[in-house]
Amino acid sequence: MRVSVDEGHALEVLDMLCRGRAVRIVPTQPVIEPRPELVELAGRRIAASCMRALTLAGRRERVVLRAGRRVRGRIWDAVRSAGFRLRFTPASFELWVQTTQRLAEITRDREVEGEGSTRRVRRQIRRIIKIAETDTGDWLLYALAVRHLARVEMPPPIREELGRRLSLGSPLALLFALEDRVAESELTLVEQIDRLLAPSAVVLVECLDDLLAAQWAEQIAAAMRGGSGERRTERLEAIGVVLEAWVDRLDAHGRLDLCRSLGLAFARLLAGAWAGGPEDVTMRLLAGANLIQRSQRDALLRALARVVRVYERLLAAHDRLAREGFGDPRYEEAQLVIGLHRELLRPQGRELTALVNRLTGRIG
Amino acid sequence: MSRGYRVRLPVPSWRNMTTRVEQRDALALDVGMLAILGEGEMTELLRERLAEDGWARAADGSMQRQFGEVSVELAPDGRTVTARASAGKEVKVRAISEADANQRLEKAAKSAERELSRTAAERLGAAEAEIRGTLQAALQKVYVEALQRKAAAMGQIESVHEGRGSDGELELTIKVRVP
Repeated sequence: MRVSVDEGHALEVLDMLCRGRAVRIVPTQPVIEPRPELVELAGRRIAASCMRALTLAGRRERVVLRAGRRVRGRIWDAVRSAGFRLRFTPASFELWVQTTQRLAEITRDREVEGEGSTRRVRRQIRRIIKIAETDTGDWLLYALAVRHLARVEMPPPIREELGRRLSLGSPLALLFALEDRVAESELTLVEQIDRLLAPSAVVLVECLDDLLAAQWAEQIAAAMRGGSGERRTERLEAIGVVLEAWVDRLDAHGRLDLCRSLGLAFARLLAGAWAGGPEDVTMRLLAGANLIQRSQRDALLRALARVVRVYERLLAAHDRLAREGFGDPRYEEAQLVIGLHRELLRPQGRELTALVNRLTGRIG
Repeated sequence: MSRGYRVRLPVPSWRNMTTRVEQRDALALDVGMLAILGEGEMTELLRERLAEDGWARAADGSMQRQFGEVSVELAPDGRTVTARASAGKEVKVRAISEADANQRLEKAAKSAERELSRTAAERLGAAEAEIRGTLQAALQKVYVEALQRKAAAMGQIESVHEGRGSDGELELTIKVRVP
């Protein structure tokens, strides 16, 4: 199929959203109404990208829980994916077409200046991202967009606004963005997470835990070094709120086996942003934060401690589950959690505890 | 040839303005005691040891002590210790109009706030080591007492030996005859 320069630009924007590829073509007139052949091609690319994201981890044989029982299989095995369907609504089409039209405009200014400018950008973003009546396919596309838009050069307030809006339309994007400001949504943070843990959608999380771990490690590391001290505190607090809610809802749904992504994220952080011991982490966190008062510095350290302490929450849940005996309601889940704890969480325990102790100034 | 001129300069009516600027800062430390006895009993032991060190007990169970210019408080639940410091000074400005004086005062107050924030933070930093040392020593006594109580609950204590390990850490050996 032959495409015009503008159509090529539209496809590049789609590749940026789905796969994180750079947009190089400068359009003469961005595509407003793509012709049917282009829509079909875009549809195939979205489907292929989403399937690729799911099968990257989903192709491995894995033990998951179904109705509290352990089952083994790959993503395409009925035993694992019964009831799951990847369904796209017009919101995905709108995201592509509207981003094609408006991306250049909203990323043009190096800085968002003034209240009026911020309002204008918010209006633009509201047009790009629809939040009502989205479905599993849109959720995945929105989540991939959150991850990939982070690599596009744009002013931080715009990036945050995009992430926030995508989070309102997709509970999976909310997890990717670690965004707790869901005030505009009809649903609370807990309700959003519950949608994702419903039997018809939980396959998404099961197949994306590696990607989630990478995303969380990057988000936490970025929150530790980006912006003013107050902004870092605010961002880390939000991350802590989302991760705590995530663990609590996994517990409530009897799916603590899905905490693997958290264990992987902690491992990545201990090898990256949290490497070198508690003193180094503290110094890195405070560097460039421009905080004079001890109370402000204390607040920033405690915000990071809140994130690290999610490990303690997991540990408490593990200790509780470890008491489940054969035949108890959560026995099968407990066996998976005990395995995860032994392989992934326990080896990190000493370093994470030392980090919390340093960040909270713990005496004892 | 020269000419004389008389120049009259108006005598300015100076306006003096003063304000007091004060900055407060605080530092919180978590107290994470080993659960040798129940939490309430451990906290009570800590209060007793701190009282021996000159801490004042308030009606709500909190304890306070002054470390130089820093006041330190143990929370009523015994889980947090908060150190507070403040620094203040008078800021004076002089200007020929009220508007100018206000502007100068605002600027001087902001500058003083920054300086005082730094001073308060330095006071906290200087006292932190002493506060930590005092609390750590008190906690060590709490652990010794708690272990002895625990041992006594298990049986008859035959001997108690306190010594120091090669790393300087306190080592406590309690021999208990269990009935």
